[in-house]
Amino acid sequence: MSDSDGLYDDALLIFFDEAREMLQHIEDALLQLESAPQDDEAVNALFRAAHTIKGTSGIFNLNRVVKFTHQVESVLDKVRKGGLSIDLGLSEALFASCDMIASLLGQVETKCADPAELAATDKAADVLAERLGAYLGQAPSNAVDGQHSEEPAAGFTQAAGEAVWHLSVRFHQNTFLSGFDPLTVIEYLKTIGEITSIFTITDGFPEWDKFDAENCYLGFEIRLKTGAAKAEIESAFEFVADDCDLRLIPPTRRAADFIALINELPNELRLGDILVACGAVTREALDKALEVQHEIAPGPVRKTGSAIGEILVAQKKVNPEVVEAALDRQAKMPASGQARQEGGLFVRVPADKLDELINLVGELVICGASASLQAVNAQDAGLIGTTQQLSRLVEEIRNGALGLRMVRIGETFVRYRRVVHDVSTELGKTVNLVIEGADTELDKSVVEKIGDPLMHLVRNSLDHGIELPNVRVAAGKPPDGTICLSARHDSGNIVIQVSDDGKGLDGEKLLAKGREKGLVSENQILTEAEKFDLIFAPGFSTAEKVTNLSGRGVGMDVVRKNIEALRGSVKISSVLGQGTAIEIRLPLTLAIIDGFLVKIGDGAFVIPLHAVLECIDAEPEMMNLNQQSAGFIKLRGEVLPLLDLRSVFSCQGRKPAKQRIVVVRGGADAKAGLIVDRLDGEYQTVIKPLGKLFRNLNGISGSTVLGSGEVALILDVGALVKLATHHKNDEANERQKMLMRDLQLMGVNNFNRGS
Amino acid sequence: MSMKPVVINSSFTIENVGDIQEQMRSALSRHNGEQKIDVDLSEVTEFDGAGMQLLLAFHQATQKMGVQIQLNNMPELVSAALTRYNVMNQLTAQERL
Repeated sequence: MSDSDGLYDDALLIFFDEAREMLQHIEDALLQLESAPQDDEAVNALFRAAHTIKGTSGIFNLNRVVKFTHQVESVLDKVRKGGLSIDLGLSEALFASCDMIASLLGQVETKCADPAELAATDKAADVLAERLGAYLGQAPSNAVDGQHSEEPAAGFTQAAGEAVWHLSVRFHQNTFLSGFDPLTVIEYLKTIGEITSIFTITDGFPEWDKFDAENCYLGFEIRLKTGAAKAEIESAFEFVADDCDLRLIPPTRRAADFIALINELPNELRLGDILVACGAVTREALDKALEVQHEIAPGPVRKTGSAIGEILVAQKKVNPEVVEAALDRQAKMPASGQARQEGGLFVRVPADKLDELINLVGELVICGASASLQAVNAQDAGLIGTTQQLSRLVEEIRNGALGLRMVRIGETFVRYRRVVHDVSTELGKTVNLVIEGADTELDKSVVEKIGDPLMHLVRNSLDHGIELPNVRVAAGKPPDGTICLSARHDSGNIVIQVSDDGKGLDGEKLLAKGREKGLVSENQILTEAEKFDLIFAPGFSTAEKVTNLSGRGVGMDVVRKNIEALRGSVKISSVLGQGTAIEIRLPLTLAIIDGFLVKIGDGAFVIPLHAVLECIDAEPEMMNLNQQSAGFIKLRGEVLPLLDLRSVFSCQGRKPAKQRIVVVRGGADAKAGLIVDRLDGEYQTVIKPLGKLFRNLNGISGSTVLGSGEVALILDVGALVKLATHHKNDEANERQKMLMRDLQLMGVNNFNRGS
Repeated sequence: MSMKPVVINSSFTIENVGDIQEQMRSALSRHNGEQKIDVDLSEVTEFDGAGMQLLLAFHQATQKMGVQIQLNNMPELVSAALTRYNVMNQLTAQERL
């Protein structure tokens, strides 16, 4: 019992996941429809998503969800059939429905048991259902009454004059093994209509000796009184479509169809009687039809179903609708089969298992490096060859393992469609969201953490960037604004850009505000980029009117803090009147980096490889170093700021006669040369975060363990370049001192163990 | 004089129908000329299509052998399902024969 409960809970969890995806599909499709109202594909996607949520909720007995989603589905079905077009009002109602389904599901997920809360949601759902009902031509009170009635089916049973469909269903043997209970499927029919009579068919049962209780031999003849369309009835069986034979006979069909049914099921001798008994057809009509059939087709009547089918077509006894139904099903089957197959290509793995694997691979990388080192020390050619091969394999495993964590950023991007839609509607703006590079992959942990900062940027663009339509037209721009979210890979980084074609940033206004807030002194001259950078200062806001979206002065500083916490950087470019682009640069993964190992004195340091541009010899006569650690060198006619890491990190150990300079790039354009003692080459490193004490240490982003067991510090190139290029000398010195104090504090001896 | 009834435990569903069928098989082979097999449903708390199917199949099998089954202590859960699927009469008609 408890086992099955566990399984049920697991399945439910997966369902919630899926349902969220489906809701996302609904939102996407709705947004798609706003730009292209005639998009049939989007309408179908809408319907399918709503239908799947309803169907699966039904399986889990989530009646509140089923009840509400049914109404949504009915409206969508009408849309799909062309009986209704999605206008603004309906679109909003459907968006609201989407939220409603989410909150209904949320209450199940959180096992909400507060009757007041449940009642409030139910009431809101009823109101919304009534709103949707208006589109179906339902009288308002009717819909609401239905929602309140004890029997959910009653809500959907319309007038008394409803048609009665005949359903003949034979389940396949593997139905139980596929995890379906025929009774659940039939119970589900009650949500779309009233079962007036039902016969359980046991003719398919084998002899008791051969009877296997775990196989399904059941069949049912069902009379269903419903106003639902054929597709809707069929859809009840969608999940068992491969596990059963379903024959649907529409209310208008006459005896001939039932004859066909009887002929299709030649082994069930009592079927005719059953059909008569359940009121599908009268005895007289049946006999008469059989007689007619004998006349048309002399010989054995119960030949094959298809032969009879042909005769009936020739006799124009089979309505095109029946043929259409058959074709419909055939067309549907491969599609659903394919979808299932595609679903089968994915394996859901708990994130912690994956993290554990990555962690182990990280240890393997370190261990592999250690083995290589020992092989080289032992000067054993065979061993060196083997360890080299091992390293290659380890690298492949590493790439594979990291690849497992990679997700497409598109899934994060599409979330903003809804935000853009909602916010722009609220602000009376029309804004299109363009997404580029949705296929770009990056580490799941990065994706999770970048969501909020991105949301902030998008909202900012919406609120401050894009102007009102009349302002835009006056400025000679199209009335509809555009926000573009793009992602691309760039030398070991992912670059995410949020750009808009709004009013742009006014550097002078920013500067004035900065002066007013005391962030910039009166005589300080800032470059354009530095002026834009001001908006990242804490408590800085240029919005003249504070909206409930942004302009409260919290935000951009937090955005930058979050991005920098991910070892990323953020840069603004803007042209007044034409728009703003905010570029976020992030590492692809937080777990492992390719590094460049250097030695300074006895200390080992790792420079992230993607930041390394070139290595040059440090000729003392070429370098202009000041008393501290900074200076510059002329490199191919350009001035390159230098930073002597030996003094920055107060390294112990003898200084060699010849030093080297590693030219690194920190940020987009800023370059600097780092003076080191020795280059030890490329080195794959697993980043181990620094302890709490050193988390705020400037210039160092983490640590790693070398193959020899030595600890190496991973350099934070961005911070070092800033240090080297900082034109405020006092501050640079101040920072340096701080840095050195910090390092002294952490006990440089720790990583000088080699001496 | 009457033999031990077939007692069906709490879950009369696809999870247990294999075992229950074994129970029924052995009951059927042990019936040695008796006219009635009792099936005790009092413990059933779960019932699904597989359970219903097995009950119907057992009924068919016994009927062919001229044995009747008596469903005892049927919980509401089971009787409601059997009534709903229109098989109650089939299963209980024999008792009156």
